[in-house]
Amino acid sequence: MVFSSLTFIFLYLPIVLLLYYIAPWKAKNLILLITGLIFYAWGEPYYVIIMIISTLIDFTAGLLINKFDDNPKMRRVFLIVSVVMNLSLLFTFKYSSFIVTNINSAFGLKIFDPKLPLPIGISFYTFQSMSYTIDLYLGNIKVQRNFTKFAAYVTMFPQIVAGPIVRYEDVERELEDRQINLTLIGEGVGHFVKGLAKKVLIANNIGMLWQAVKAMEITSLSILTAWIGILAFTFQIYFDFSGYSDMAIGLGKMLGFHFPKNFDHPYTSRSISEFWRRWHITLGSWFRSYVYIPLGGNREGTGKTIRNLLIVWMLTGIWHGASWNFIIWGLYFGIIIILERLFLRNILEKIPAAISTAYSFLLVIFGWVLFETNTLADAGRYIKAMFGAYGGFIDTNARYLLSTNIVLFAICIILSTRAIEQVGEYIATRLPALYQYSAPILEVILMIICTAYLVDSTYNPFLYFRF
Amino acid sequence: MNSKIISALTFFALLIILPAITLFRPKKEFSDEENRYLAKLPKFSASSYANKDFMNGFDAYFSDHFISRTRFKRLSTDIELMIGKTQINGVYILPNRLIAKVDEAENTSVNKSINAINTFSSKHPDLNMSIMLVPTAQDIYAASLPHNSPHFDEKKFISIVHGGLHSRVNTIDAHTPLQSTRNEYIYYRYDHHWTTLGAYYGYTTAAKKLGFTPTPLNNFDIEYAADDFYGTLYSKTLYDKIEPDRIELYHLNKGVKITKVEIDTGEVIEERDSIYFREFLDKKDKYSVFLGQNQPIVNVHTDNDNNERLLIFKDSYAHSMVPFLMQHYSEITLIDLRYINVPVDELIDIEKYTQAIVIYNTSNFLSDDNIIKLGF
Repeated sequence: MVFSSLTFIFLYLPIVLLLYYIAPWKAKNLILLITGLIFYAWGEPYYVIIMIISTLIDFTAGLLINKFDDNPKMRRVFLIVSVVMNLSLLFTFKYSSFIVTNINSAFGLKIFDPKLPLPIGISFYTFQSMSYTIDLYLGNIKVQRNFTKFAAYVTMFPQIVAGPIVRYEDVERELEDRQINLTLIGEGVGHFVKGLAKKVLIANNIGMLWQAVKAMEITSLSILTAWIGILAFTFQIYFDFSGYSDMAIGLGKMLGFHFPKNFDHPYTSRSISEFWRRWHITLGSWFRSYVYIPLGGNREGTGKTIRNLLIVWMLTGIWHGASWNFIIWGLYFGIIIILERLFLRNILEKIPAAISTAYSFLLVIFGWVLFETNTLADAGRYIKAMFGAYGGFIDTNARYLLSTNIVLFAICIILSTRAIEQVGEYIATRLPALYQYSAPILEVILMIICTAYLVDSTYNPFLYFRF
Repeated sequence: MNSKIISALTFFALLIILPAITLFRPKKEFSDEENRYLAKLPKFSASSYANKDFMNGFDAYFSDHFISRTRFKRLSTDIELMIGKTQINGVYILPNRLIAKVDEAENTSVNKSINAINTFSSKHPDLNMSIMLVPTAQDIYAASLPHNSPHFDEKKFISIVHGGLHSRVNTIDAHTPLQSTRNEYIYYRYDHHWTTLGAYYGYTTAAKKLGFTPTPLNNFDIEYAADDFYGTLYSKTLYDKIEPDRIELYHLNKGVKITKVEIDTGEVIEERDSIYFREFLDKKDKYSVFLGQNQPIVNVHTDNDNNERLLIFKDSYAHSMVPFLMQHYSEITLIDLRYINVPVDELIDIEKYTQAIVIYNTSNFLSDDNIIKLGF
């Protein structure tokens, strides 16, 4: 199921919340587990089994790591079992087809490619449950002896399909005991409605513009059409992804959980390093904690640091999907970040904010070309189109696309900055009562408009099927 | 009360009231507004679970029957227009009419269609063969489309098609007469069809090429059969801020009469005594007053005893031309290639026809891949 559907919002959610609120404390985690499985099975009727198996293995590995508390060798064995199991699931379902195709074309072989469809959210839930066994091994958390609680953590519907990547550590305490009250629920509603509006009203709309450009021959694009297209995708992916995270965080609060923040105005960043501290924050911090730092981080000299950064960024790239474009996309950011560490950082700090923001925004946009085209050749052609290889600066198409979407672009730009928050704070200090009570009114209006768009939805994609 | 609590309570009120009304009120089977059957509640079974038919069917059911669906859809249209969009669901919204967009990308089988027509005409050299492609409103009113809108040049397209046809096939230019009468009521405002008047102008051009003198307009009595026609373009957008359409029926005040109309649905043959199916005037789909909805074969018999017989391969644009063409023939047969699955000569006796004509609007001719059946 996806959050941006009428079935989820107006049927699943009210029933689940009602059951959850009236159930006694002891049953709440069990309800989360069962409803999470239903939520997942709605989209993946078969693969729900894989999630259950993965959860069982990690839970058992946790028990065993704990049992052999004073036997470092055995602890390590069970950690490896858990990590290998999770990575093989990922490998089988996500990367096997990519690897087989590449081996076949490199060596002229005909190894059978099973072409398994990718289970939704597998990259999210395997990373989540790995955080449990790894942190347990490192002694950062205590073992979870109650299967329901552990399984509720993995399968809980808010974060299962598209993040944020909630680490066990983040919710360890709340799995045992959490506060649920109307004020927290109201806060959650605010997050949820904001996220829903970002996804349904902004991302889907600007996404249709990108779809229109994507459908054209790359070699027929004028400079402006190419830029309009990729800018539209730039905003689509941000509002879609951060909208999803906002909805997840909001739903978490309605259930009494505090999930970590996942996006923080990434397009206002003044460097690529800063962009990645603001974009998909939980993924960056996962790789930092479980790959970069264990490899030695930046403590073992420049050479090792560069190696570690390249490994982390290659993995980050390939985490997003099994194709060369994603690998190159990850390495592209890795190299920029290395250059920034080596010398660009000093320059970026000195130049005016407008220039450094433009620098990182442009690099991110070129990154999205790699990310969103299917082959490296297409990416190359698209970038050439952006520089006028196939057309003049402007054509009828570009005029039409721009004139019918200019308002939407303006809204996207404003919502990407902190402008709304700043206006909000200004009103909050001057007219606190107005500020307070306009929130619920705004939320009802947004809910009704989002419902209107969902009833009439012609384009409501789920973008993370490759993650 | 703290505003967060108000947020929580109003949110839950919406989450409970909207689905409760949706689920408990009586359900409609057919939506007149959208002119389609609404989804039925799917049955749960192991196989409908495994192939996700149940989940997808349920999502469709819940959305189709959602409370105030029409009002919600209209709201989203209004907002789209407010933020500067000029087309909704492939339909341009103009101040005085709706116009269907034509997507050039759907051009996949035009060359095959042209070859099929050539093949058909060479297989039947005695049959006098013609073609008339009717431009759609997006071309005739290209100048009125929203600024910079992509526009499909149908005049050019028609001449390319004509160029690809064998010289034995007569080409009839419907573009010029429609272009020159563009200020008259020749296309519906809410529907993608041409009006009866538009079809009359098409007829006058066609008649000359088919060897008849077109009957002047004042030989017809015009009946205003309905003045509240909201057609297909309305269904796609639910935009209702312009004047509804009028259905006009033209009756020849003296001369040839219809004797029998046979509708071959592929299963049964239904007989009627008029080309006007008046029951549709009370329905949403009022254009179907012209020979009903599309059927595989329709035979129109008249009391004209000249033994001229016309075979029409067509889409629904041809339906409103039949009231004019009928007077010149003792029999007209309309074949909708979308609904037949055997070669045409197995279906009818082509020898008995004196003339054949292909009548499509350009948009359908561009995208329909059934015309190739003529070549079988």
